[in-house]
Amino acid sequence: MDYFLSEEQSMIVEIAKQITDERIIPQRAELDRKDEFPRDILNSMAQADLFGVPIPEEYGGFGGGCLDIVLALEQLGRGCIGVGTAFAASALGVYPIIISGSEELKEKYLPPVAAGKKFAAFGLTEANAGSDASGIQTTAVLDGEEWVLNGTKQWITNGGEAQIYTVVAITDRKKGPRGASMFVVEEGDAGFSCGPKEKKMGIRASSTTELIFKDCRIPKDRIIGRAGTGFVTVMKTLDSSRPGIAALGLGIGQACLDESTTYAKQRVQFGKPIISFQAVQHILADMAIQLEASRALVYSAAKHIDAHPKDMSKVSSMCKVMATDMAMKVSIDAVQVMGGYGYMREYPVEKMMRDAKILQIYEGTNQVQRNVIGQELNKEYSRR
Amino acid sequence: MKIIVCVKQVPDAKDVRLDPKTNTLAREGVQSIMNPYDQYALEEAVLLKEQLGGEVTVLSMGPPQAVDVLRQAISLGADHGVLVSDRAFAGADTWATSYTLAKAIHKIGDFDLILCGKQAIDGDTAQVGPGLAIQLDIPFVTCIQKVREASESELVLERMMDDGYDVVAVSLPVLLTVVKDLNIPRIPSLKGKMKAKKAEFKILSAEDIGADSACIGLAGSPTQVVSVFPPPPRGERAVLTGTVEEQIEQLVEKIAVYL
Amino acid sequence: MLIVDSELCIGCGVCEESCAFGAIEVIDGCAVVGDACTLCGACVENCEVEALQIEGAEKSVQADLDSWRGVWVYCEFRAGTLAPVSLELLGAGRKLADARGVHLSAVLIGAGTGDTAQRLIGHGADIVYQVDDPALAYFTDEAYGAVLIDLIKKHKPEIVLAGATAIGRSFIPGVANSLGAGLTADCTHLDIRLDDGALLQTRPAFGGNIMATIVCLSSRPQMSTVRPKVMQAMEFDAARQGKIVNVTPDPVLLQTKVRVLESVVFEQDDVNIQESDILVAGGRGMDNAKGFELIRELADSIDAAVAASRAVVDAGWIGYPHQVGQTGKTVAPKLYIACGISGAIQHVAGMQSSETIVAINRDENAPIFDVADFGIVGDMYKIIPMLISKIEGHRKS
Repeated sequence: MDYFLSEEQSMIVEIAKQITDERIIPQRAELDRKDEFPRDILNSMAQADLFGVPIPEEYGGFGGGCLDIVLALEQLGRGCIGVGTAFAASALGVYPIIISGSEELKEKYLPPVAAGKKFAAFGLTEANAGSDASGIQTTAVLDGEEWVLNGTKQWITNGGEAQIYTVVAITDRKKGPRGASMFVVEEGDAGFSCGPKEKKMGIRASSTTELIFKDCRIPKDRIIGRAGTGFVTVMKTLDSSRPGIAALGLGIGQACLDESTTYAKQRVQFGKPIISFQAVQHILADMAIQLEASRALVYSAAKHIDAHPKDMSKVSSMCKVMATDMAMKVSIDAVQVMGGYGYMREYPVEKMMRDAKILQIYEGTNQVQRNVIGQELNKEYSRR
Repeated sequence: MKIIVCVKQVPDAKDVRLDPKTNTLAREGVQSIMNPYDQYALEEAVLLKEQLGGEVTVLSMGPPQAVDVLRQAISLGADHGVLVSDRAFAGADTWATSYTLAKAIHKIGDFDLILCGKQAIDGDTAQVGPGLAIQLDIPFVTCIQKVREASESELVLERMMDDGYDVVAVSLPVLLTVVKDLNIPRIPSLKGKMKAKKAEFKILSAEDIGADSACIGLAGSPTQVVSVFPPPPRGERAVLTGTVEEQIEQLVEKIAVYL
Repeated sequence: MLIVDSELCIGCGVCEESCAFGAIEVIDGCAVVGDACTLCGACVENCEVEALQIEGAEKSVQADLDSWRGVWVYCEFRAGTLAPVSLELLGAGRKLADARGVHLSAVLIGAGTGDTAQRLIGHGADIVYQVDDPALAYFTDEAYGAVLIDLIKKHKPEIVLAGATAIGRSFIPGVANSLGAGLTADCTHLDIRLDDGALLQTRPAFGGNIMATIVCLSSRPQMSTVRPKVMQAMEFDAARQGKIVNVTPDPVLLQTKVRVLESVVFEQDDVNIQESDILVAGGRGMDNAKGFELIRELADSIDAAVAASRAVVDAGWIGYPHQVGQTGKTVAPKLYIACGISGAIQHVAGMQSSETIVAINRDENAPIFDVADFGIVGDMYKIIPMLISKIEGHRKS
């Protein structure tokens, strides 16, 4: 369908498409097999200015909106959401600085990320704080001119690969959620280290590690915003980033539809290509319907967010749920259409199905998203 | 360093087919692309510019729509683009083409280095690069697979040979033709695409470059195509039957003459 | 340019059909010429109402065409070795020279050529111009070009052939351009038109999708580079007589701006794939570098050289000199065994003139089977080892 993209948006799509077709697709199986971080591919994205898309123009970026980043991630997701996740996580890592950071922090950290010279990561999750962020144990205590961080973050995307980490720590336990703050930690800060790479079901090209803080001392001015505003920043960050996750779902959905339809046209059984059987046609038709409906919602949500940045929670959650549930469903269907071949590692849909699962889990499980949507509905209808 | 890169717009070979009934090239859905070898030449020029400073001008000869490849070159890091285009150039073989390009380069002005792809995938002649160097009276080295050292005055290069490679040193100005191993061409950047969108290109006619009408187009071409025909069809594929093992046995018998 | 007389044109469309380049279109009942026109003249010949004509500056014809006589072959000698294509060209040149009733001469340029000149005579040359000088030990376009240009100007041959090798395709274009001579690259067929002595040079274009026959009527010499492995060398005959002319080049000709610092010749197992009679080629279907080892094993078992598709070279399983296809080398061995190569047009362009093509692929729909003479569908890891053992069995019996 024609979504009447602007000329600049079409350029973003073209660039991301070329990177996907020429760099990601030829390498994705090997990256998956070797659990290998796609540094070369990310470097070519940097050279193509993609890292600058979400960063404001005054800090060396393109000041792109939600839809711009969605379009890029959709293409990357079509190739490999492991690579897409590594890219998206860098943007996620600097959103807190863009949203709440001081001018000094912005000037220091945004230009190298916009240029793709440095990668970023976002540290929220802990062993006892996933969907329930209030369980955070990591602490930050002001000691003279320095903050002292202690604690361990878990499952942090780009861990060990990023140079800039934005992390949430409790600065005042008594205040509950209002006692959390965000900080910038740099690779090489004393007392900061990353754990070994986790072994995952999918998105194996992305790096996932613990972030370990043992009396990690950082300068006082590395706090993002005022003390106690950490949760607000986290929520706004996740609201902004969720359509990107939805976009990865669109990419995977498109890839699954492409692979299985192409296969169904070639595969001959009972003397005919299997696409001539209604049983197969209906599966493919349902895949296409769900994919296009999801795309329409994700693009509309992204445009809404660009136009109404203060009213993004509900639409952001809605598009994440719909597109990622679609991705899971469609990838399962793609494997089904391709039968035994689909289940084999030499065909790409096996990996897509493994990869798709994470989309329903990370950046807020789809159950939590539904909670958010439900709560927003409750609020809206109370105001009537 | 002033670098000129010669690029050609060619039909994408994967689309090209000769219709055996009409003897014509099927033109439906044939995309035009920048000749693949020229992409390596352009990338090397941009890398040298990034290393040593200077500017990169891309030059193409072709119909007006060949500005598309110049635009693409800008998105990939070139600074300027020039197209030589004139109906009077039609029918040019490699001699007339190298004459025309040399004339255009004289018009463009000073240069230190000229880079060309080894050959264009539509003609596969590999003659225009060396011919252009002769017309400009500068040395040339073909099939460069690696630039080992580069300075404002001298280059140390690896040229690919059939049985290995030679390491050669040459002072500037020089013309090089390049092969695929040289580099991995970049993907256009967003800034580059935006610049390309606004870019304007000089279009030079035969008169603009002061070409002698006896040296261009068909008149300036020593060679002439007398017929074009499809290659002889290959025989039908022989059918091997039975289990894989039986098929292999039959195959070994069939190819035994070569073993 | 191509002129359409709109008064005479009846819009029949014959020209449109006869144009190989899709450059003519009939619009509103009259032919319109587009930018793709190469002035090949096919339409002019086919137009029944003579509405088409090619106009432009007259091609000037060299005055002394008939004073150019003889067929020459540049015989490539590098690092102590004569390129095999040189002997093939002597075989082809012999036929052309006999058809024209002229001498066949070989030009041998290099250092330490030993008895090579005598070999060239045994393979068909009447005269060998031997330019043996230490300054020519390494190939340079400048010195080799200058020496050959000088000889051509002195002796005025009507035809000059050279191998379409790295060296031939490098300096011959410079030589032709300096002389203002017509040059046709990568010829696969040569013939003489008896009435005017025109060399009919046939070569593939557009990746082998079309063939074109090219002539050079208005100037001499007529020059061609010819692909290795397409012409037939004559058997060596020690009794053949010929003349060796030792040429001492003017030192000015040997001055070069390009300095060769080092010449690296690959080891035996990296032989030039264009000169090999049998090639075993591997593609993406070999899965990984380890799987690709099977290709080497098969090649070793039949004394073949190893070739590869672009995907494999890009993945780093083997070096670029082994790449066959559009951005690699064009090969025409007697036997080409393609394993796990899907057969994209870019690859096929580089190998479709092989004498016999065998394809082994797990995908029965792979386009490689369209050009194959023999095909086996199945698992590479089963088929290749079985093939190796059957070949060994065959050899023993």
